[in-house]
Amino acid sequence: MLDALQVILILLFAPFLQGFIHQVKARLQGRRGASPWQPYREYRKLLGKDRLLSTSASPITRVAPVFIVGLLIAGCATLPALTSSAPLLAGGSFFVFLSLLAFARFATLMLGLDSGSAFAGMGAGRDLLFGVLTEPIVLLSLIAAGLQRAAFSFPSLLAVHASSDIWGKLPATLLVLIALLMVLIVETGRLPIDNPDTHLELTMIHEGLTLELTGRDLALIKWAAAIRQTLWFTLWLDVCLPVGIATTVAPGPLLVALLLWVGKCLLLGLVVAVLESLSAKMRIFLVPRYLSFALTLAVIAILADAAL
Amino acid sequence: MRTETINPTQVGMTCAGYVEDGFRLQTMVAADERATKGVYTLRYLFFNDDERQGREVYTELSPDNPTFTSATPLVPAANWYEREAYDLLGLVPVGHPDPRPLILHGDRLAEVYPLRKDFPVDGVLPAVERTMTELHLPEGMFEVPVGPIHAGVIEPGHFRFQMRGETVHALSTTLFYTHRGLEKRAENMSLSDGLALVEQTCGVCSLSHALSYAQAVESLAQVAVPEQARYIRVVWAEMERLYNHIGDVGNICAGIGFSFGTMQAGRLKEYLQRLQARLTGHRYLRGVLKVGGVQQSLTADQSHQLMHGVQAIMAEFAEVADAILSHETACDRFRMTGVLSESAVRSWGAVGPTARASGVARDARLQQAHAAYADLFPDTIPTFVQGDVMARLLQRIEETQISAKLIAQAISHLTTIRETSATTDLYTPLPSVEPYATGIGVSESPRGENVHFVMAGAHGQIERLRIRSASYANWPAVPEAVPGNLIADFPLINKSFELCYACCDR
Repeated sequence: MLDALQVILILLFAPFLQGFIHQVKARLQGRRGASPWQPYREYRKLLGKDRLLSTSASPITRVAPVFIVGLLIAGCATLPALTSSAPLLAGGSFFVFLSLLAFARFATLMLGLDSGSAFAGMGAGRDLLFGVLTEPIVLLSLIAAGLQRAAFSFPSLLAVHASSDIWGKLPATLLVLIALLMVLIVETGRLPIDNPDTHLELTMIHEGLTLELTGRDLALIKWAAAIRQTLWFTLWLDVCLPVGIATTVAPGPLLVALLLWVGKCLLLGLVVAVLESLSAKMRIFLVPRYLSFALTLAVIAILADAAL
Repeated sequence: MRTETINPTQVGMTCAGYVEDGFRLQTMVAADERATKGVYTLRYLFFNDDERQGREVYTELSPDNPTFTSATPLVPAANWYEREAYDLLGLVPVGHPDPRPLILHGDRLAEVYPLRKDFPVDGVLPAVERTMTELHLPEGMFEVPVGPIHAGVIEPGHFRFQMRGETVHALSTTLFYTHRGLEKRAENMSLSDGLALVEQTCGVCSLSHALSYAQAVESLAQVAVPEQARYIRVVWAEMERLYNHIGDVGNICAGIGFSFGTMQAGRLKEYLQRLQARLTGHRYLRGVLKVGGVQQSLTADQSHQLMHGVQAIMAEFAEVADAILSHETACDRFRMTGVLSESAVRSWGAVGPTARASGVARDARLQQAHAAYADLFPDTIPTFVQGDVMARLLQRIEETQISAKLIAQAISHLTTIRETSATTDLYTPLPSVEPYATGIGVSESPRGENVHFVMAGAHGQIERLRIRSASYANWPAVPEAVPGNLIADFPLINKSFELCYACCDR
């Protein structure tokens, strides 16, 4: 019951988070911007539109959007958002969670390549390059966070946090916090890595893959992007800022956890929006250098952890 | 201007001779003069920036054998002009290295030439066939087609990139999707009505096109423009440059997703355009000029408002430009990206900020002084030598300061004129013109030199109009700046040239 509730919460909240970041960015650029509810309106509009398929599209294009959303829902079920004691898919294992996201990435790449568009091909190449580099960073960061108690699932990691003072191993936590934030920016397709608002097809990474989609498929893929973003936000919060997450299933702590989770997501969204407004997109071949910096931080975090 | 009349077979050699003597091809006009002279004519117009003088190479082609020796193998800048003459008038450039259709895409239509006099102005072109050929590229290379429909709402152009990984090996462009046949439409309009049509050539350089056209007609009718009008022309020409340059700085930032620069420059540009709307009644300065002078005066109160607005914007723009130039990622993206060499500028005859950012001090305000620029314009102009995106950005930022200064100077001259001059004429009425007289008008638009050629008809109407915009001169140079760059940098490079499609296509 509670596990289903967490999943539904993430699914429903994800578009609002997307709209909120958009709104903050607009304000920072001196515009009034659309309301944070705009993504929901956009999905409704797209659902009412016809579906146009390219003549070269294979059945992959028909099934991939639903498949991707399915994988991400499974991802939601692996990650604790409100409480660490509700039952989770695969016990909330890091490895299952990351595999689900990787599988969703693969499905998105197939969807892009199936469209036959050159932009999707370029986007796929770039996305894979970044994906190959981010996965070890995430894994190393998570391991660094839970190394001492051999905690390799989210509930056990949260238990470590609850039982010990995370600030006691401050250096490692700080390094993990920065490394994961750097990965989060890559994985959610934000500046300075990818520009989510661009109309320049030659520079696209994530947008390029889905450029040919229409109607329902486009709505699903946009929703999937929002869910994926919320998952990365929640992962970051679980690892780096688990303050207030409920350890029981009592209604009181759950309500507090809900409010805190929403608040922390919005706060992190604010940080991302500010970072985006301050940056310009970096040269594509500088991204590996950026990620190798994050990788170095994760490795040092493990070493610092082991030394303590 | 001296005219040299030659035989159609001598075109190539003669043009090459002028280029060797330091001249550049300014425009080429092909015309159907069968009704009056019984021939097709070609006029290659050359200009020497150092000696500040022009030359015309004139040749006549018999309707039985409308061919001529192409100048393109020796003068690359002639490439598009000659293909256009082939497309629209059926004049065949023999020996042209790339005789594919330029304006009418696809396979060449036999015996359909819309600019010939016997083709009706409301005539419909037949559907174009397109023979597709398979591409043979070496191992590891592939082609990326882009456009003409883009992901954003922008003008149509088709680009084909030959790629190796993320690096562009070669680029070919197909433009002219917005060819509207303006030159055909202009024929038989009255010389003064033509101005309203010419203003529609382009959105952002409306005033420069109007200025070039008005000057071409004034030159063929031998009309002197009142002193007051010449200064008012400078004011609005510089305002057009100011709002374009500021907007283009923002567009360059959009090429790298730098929203601060895009939004701030966009805001300042909008402010200037609203100021223009308030003072002239048009955001794009249409209807401000008139053949023989200007349509509207600039009162003391209006001048005051204008000066006040420009000063406020310039102060803000200085801060915005400073913030852009101190952004590390932005500067990293701008430097060494899209380098256009000086030799490419010279061989393609590129103009405007593009040429100046590559070290070629070419400016129609200096070398072909028009309006009141002879009195106002400084003797030297700032140039940059790197020819990269950064240089084109800095060039524009520098030029905004000159524009602001010119506006202030022109306004103070206008005050003196108002106080001392007895006449308040805004324009000189157009007298009846000599049949088949020709005139050339040149102005420096924000994108560079706009050249208009006008030939009058028997009864004071337009017989032939040829619009050569700055974009038409610069577009062929763009593919030279792209090879060796990452494909993701192309939008940035393209925006640093900020060429217009509509006024290239006409």
